Amino acid sequence: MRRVVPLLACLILAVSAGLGAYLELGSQVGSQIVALQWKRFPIRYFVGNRDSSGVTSPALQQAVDRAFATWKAVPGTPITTEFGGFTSNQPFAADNVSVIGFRSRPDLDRTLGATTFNLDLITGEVLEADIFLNTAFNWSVEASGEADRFDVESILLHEIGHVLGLGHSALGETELTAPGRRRVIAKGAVMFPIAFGSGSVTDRHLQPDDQAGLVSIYTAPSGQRALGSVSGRVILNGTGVFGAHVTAFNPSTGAVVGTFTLNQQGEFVTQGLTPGMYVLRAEPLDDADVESFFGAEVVVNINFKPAFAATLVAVPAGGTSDSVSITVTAK
Amino acid sequence: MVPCRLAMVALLALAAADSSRADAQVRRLEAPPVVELGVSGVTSGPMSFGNASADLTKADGSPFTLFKTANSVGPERGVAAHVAVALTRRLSAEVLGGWTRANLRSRISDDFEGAAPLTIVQPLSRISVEAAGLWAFHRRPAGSLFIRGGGGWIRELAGASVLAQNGTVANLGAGVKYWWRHRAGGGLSHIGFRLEGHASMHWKGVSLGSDTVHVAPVISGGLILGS
Repeated sequence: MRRVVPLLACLILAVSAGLGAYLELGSQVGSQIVALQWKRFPIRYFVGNRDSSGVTSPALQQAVDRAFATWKAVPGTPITTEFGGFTSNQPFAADNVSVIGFRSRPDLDRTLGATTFNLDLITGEVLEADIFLNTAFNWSVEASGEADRFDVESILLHEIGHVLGLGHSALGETELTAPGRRRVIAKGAVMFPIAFGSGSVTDRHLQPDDQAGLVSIYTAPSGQRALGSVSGRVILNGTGVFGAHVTAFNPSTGAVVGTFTLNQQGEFVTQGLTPGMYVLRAEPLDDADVESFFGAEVVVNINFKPAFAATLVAVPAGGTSDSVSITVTAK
Repeated sequence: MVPCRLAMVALLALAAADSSRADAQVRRLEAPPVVELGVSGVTSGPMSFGNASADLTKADGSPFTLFKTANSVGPERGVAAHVAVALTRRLSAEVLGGWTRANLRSRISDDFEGAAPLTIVQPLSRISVEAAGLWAFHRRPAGSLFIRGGGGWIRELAGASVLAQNGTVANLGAGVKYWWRHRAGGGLSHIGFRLEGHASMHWKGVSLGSDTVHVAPVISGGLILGS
């Protein structure tokens, strides 16, 4: 069963800020992309006072608190939060109050939850972010999960990633189960756009890809000196490939971090990497809808075979690797 | 008669003098050079970093392998130089500096989506500075067998030197010195060669595996000068 968790982003473009690592959310100002992020902390949030089947408002608040705590535990990030209380305000109301709660949206039959923003379009500062969980589905806050119910904390962890400015990661493998429907085989990021099936609590833990994305947004330059980045191009028949998914694998740590080529030259940059040696791999963006990552108007080339960079790549502390070319061939 | 007796005493005295000088010369020949300088070529066998797989996570938390890698470094080639000072007849202290070059190697296979298997490399340079103790046994004027143990600091550079990581190294091995020129007196009194094999253990530095220590066999041989 496919469960798409889209980012509802009025006036927000799911595009990269510059060529920064990871897919970050941004606001387009003229020809510039301004990264979406919180600039003032703590993030003050309220929890809706509406219960859902099996989940009370206090239980929801505790799950929200755990999910925020998981993101706040990423080293070197300044994020703090403050629970403002329970509210009758509905998520998705532009009221300058960040609300997380349940809401009935039976029309969104493939959407478990979503995030919306109210932001300063010039600076990219988030002023308000709301999350709703769709009561069209059954929910659970049990420690080990419940069959046939979706785990609140897992879905909140994903949505809070959006609240913090992260877009979707393509680090996952899926299979088609019916036209337009996919099942997740495995994934390497909480921010993959398709959730695991009901009963799974695996997404309560961040993966290196998620952490690298958050670090690239919030860690101060002084904190990033201990980390490095890799840059390069994906080339097909001598031409850059737009929208290729590039993964960087560190054999020493086992970390897998993904990014995208984000221009017609096929250039990519992945930031927030632990210094060391990396294996780079490029693959087409064919494990989820392209609209989950880019705007619907964007044309992404998925007509090529996965391939590896022809060299091991050295990522230095506080710097960038030598530029790497990954040559792919058409299917 | 008297002059004849004087001559015999003089001859005996000369003979005695010659004999004591010869004894001293033998002792000088058997004594090791106080200071030894050496330059040698170094080669080591390949060192495995083991296997590592790029894993995603399934819904039940178990790993799902995107692709596998088998990782190694070497063989290494390089040069080393040392200065040794004799502390006793058998014990010497050494300071060594070395530079070696090798290829980090990763063999990629079993890609989930069928990407072609591939072996990829990246040159690696290593600079090392070590201190060691050398114990000579079975000493002969023309050479000796010895054991050596020591440790020090390494700095490894990869990717056109963009990646630099420090580590430590410890060595334990044995070897032989042969002096084909050995004479008493000051200056350059000894010229010979030194051949050695040891196990080299590395901690940290540039790695392609999760193991904390890596071991490689090393052979070195070269010219030594003594004084």
